[in-house]
Amino acid sequence: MGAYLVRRFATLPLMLLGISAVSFALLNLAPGDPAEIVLRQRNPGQMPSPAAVSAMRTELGLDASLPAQYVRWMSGALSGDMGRSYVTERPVAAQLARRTVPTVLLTAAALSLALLVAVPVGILSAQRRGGAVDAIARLAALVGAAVPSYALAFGLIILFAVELSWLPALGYGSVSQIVLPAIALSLAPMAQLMRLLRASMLEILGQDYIRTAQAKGLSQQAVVVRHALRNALLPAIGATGVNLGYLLSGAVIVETIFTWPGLGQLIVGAALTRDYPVVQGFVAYIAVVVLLANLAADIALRMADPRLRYEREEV
Amino acid sequence: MPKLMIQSIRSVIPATFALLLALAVACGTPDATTENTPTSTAATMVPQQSPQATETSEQPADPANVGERPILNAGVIWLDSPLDPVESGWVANQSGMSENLFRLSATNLSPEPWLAMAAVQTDPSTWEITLRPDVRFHNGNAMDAQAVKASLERTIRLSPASAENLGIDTVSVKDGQTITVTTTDPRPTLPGLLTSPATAITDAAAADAAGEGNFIDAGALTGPYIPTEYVQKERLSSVANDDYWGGTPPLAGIEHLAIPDTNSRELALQAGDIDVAINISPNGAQAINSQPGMHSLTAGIGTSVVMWWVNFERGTLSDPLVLRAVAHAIDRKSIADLVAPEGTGSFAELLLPEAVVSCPGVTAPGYDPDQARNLLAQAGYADSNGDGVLDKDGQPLEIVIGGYPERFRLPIMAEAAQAMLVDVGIQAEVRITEWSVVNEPEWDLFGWFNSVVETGDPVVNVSKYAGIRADASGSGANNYGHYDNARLADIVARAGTVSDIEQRKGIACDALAVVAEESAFLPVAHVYMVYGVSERVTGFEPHPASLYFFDHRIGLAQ
Amino acid sequence: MTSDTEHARQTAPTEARRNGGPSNVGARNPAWATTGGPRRRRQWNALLREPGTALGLLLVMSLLLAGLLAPWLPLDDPTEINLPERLLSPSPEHLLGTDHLGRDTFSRIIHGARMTLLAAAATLILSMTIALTVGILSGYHGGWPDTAMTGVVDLLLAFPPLILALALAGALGPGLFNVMLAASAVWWVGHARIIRGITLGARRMEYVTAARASGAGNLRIILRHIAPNILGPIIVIASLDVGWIILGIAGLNFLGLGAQPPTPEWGAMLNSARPHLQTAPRLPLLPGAAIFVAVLGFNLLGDGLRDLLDPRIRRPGS
Repeated sequence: MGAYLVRRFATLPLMLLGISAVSFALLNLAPGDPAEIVLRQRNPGQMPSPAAVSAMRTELGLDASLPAQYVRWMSGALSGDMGRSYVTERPVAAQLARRTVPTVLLTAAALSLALLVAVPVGILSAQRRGGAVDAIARLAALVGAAVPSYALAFGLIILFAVELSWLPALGYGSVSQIVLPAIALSLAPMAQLMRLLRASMLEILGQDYIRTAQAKGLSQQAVVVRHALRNALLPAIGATGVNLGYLLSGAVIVETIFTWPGLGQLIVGAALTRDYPVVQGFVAYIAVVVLLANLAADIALRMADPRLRYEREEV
Repeated sequence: MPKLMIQSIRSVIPATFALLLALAVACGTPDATTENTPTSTAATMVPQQSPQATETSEQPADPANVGERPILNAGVIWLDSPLDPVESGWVANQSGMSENLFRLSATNLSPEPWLAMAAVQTDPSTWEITLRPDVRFHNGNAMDAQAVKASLERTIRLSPASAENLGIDTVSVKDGQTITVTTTDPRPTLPGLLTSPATAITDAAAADAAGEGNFIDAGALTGPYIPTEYVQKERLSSVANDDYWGGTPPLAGIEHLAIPDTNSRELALQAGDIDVAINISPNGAQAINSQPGMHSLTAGIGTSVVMWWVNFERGTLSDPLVLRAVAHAIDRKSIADLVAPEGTGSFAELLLPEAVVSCPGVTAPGYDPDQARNLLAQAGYADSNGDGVLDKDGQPLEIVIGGYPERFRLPIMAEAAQAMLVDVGIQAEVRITEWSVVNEPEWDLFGWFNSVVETGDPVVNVSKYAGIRADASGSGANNYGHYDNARLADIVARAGTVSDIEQRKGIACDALAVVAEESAFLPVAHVYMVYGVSERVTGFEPHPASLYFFDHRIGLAQ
Repeated sequence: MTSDTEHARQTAPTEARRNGGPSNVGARNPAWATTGGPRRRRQWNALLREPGTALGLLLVMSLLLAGLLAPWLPLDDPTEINLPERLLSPSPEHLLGTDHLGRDTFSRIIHGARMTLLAAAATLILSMTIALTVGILSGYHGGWPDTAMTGVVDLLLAFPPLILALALAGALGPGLFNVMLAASAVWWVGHARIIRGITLGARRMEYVTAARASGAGNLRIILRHIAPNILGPIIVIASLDVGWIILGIAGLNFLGLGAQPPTPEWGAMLNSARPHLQTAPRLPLLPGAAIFVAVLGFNLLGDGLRDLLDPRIRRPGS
């Protein structure tokens, strides 16, 4: 464990450096001169003069060499300055910070919902393999994995907000408003986790020590709770950690539909306007979050399951 | 990595994981959503209302009889401009927070007194404006001649565009409630120019003292609603101004919610999330009118235009023959019927609607695909490789039609025009992105939605699309298509000293004839402001212009 | 790309890990590597005996057929507008009615299958090519190139595909082609890791060592001994992947970053049909249902193939 932690944390700075480099490269892959984009945004309908463009290039630091620009961006980012939006001219870091809370709330709600349904159903489905519950659960998982979240979102809005008037159609600020977007976002991970849990549960239920426990006369429920569940949950926890990144990006669509003022809404607009500083900052931010989440999940997994030791991957 | 990032992550990740692990292990905690109560203020809560359970009352709520005045929730497209009028001011005007000396009349869209009582032109460059005596800023300061002078001076100092439009030389205090305004050159339309949201009257000293970013704290506006919290592009909260000069509003306040997607806004109204949906589509109006407890409202006057900018900067449409062919190839009338069916708008032969100026005999190139094909042949285009797309010198004839999705008409317009252009052999690519993409050089036609009644002056509403300044020079802003406006500028220059509205209309017609002939823009439809309104809403008068959504009369029955 | 999509990428590695880690999924069960004629027929029969898999195969085949034949079927032009005939209800002339511009919805759905399958296939082929190249080179060669590539893959895994694709598609400008490029550019990463693991495992098998000892060239070893081991997992991954790719591309199109009107693409169709959610619900419903059916079909087929090609999963727990 100790050696594992040392190795993971030793590579962390390198990974962060890599993330910043990839994010930085995004801006430079893009066609078009950022200086010209800024000038056109600031002076609507006017052709930027070559002199103005070159002055703006200097102002934005674009006349420096690429490595120098990278170092500048990187050192700015380290001190919390990720530049300013081309379009709104507001600091990127502040925008990201403000929009983090809604996205975290939505993602956490969706993930919790997914686990809340997937764990019991997955286990029940494995325990009663071949039964009616299993058949329905498997069908639900198949359907859940295939429904596009945006189509589901519209269905939820029409049914629960417009027809039944049980829940708000959109917006942010009250508990009831998180319900529909969280359901729309949770369906796919729910289906996925359900399948994962069912499969690992089946595997574990078939293993010797479980059979031994059963032979010793422990009831089925006791076996499940005391032995199988704990082990079956491990892959689910592992997958959950990785899922965070995927949930965050799934939130992009759901937030757009539900007018949820999170990071997803911000990025779609920024991508369409080629607001590179925002896109760049956002991509780097999410990558760091995912990286750290994966690390946390791995550590949690190893702490929960002593059988998993750090092994060199090359073995 | 940035400190901020690390901090956010520190707080977010462990919290998330703690939650997950707790859930995973306990596997039976209460409903997840209840654990994640958003932390923002209760003021942002949108109450749940069942549309079926509403009471229809025509009686305006009397604040004296109602213990708890209701808060109205409104859904709008954008909440993007800052509240300080000098930084645009549209949102502050629309939401009933800021007021100008003059406003556009709801009946004929010409300027009428608002915070002013009257304006008299004493000579071509001098105006005397009498002020309403009973107006106070939200901070309690009186709006007297001195304050208005300071406000106008601040506008000129901080808003170069307004300074240029107004052409104000000096503002002097004549007496406690009268100011004298002199302009550098004759400004016969000064009252109209003062309806511009950027010229809203502001407590200049308080606004400057509050400093940038603290405009709300200054209490520097005069309208029936006082802003309390503004998160741009998200929401704007306000409370009623109980000392409002026009009377105490029956509402406790208005919550404005930015809902950029038209369909979402309509659904939010139907779900009871909002009481007023601003700008709804014909389909939305249909759905809303078929639901009990709500209906659509409109003043039925086209005050905005949906049109295409024509990009003269890019190669393709800078060829007048090709541009004219495009103008003939697109059946603008049919597209108008599609995007602005009866009751929501009308076909725009010219840029300006009849309500603003009527120009008999002035027409734009009409739908004539054969003529379009002829013109393209004249321009040297032929389908040499038989792929159905015309080409010249080995280059296919392709154009890009841009637009943005928030104005629901623009994507439909683009798609319809695309198909019509294909019919005459022009390959058209649709790119629906974001409105500010109009600033980039990557389109040939760009769909646009804009008011055509600003300042109430027809000449301004033509010239503003062509980058013509108030002094009729042609280098101003917003000429997105880089249209060569020399001819137009000469016509607009004739309006310089003309104050007679009929004469100005004549000049506007000449200007419209030029832009129509040169296809400087391709107008499609003049559209109405259509509101979706819950029946609980009382005293709501839909104003035809897109400047005044809320006044002090609007109320909400309990 | 919804969150759905994202699971694809992590599911594959997770399941691979569960099936014995990145060591030798294929190498241990080289059943498919040595299949003969009769055996293959037996496998097909086994495949079709599962009702789910049979349904999946049926759906996928119908989609493929519709997509391939769309231009030659007696359908209306999917992009030709006919304003007087807009928003017609289903009728014998227009089986699924017409849309807001008078175009035949049935024709657009069928042509949409073509668009969707083309986009998915292109993305799959492009990303698999990258993944195979990187994975095999890395796993077979070992040493510093392996370390370097593993590092790059680990790094890129931190970028959720949708977000990177969104940023790339935004930078490249909206368009279906750009979305395919962007999706491919991020999709290969997880697969490269799995392929590397399989290659690594296969390289250590005795017959590979023997072949190498007998002086066989690297290319020959890769083609003769490594590739067959990769083939099975690749088929499984690919078939499980198509569903996610379809969802993902449709998601980007829905956000307006991909296919632009009038392209008959399901995600874009759903987006432009939003105004008719209440007045003509079939307009958004049909493309949504089409996406659902396509994804379901590929997922069912993928599950079936996995059960068939990986016996360990086929009989889980027994």
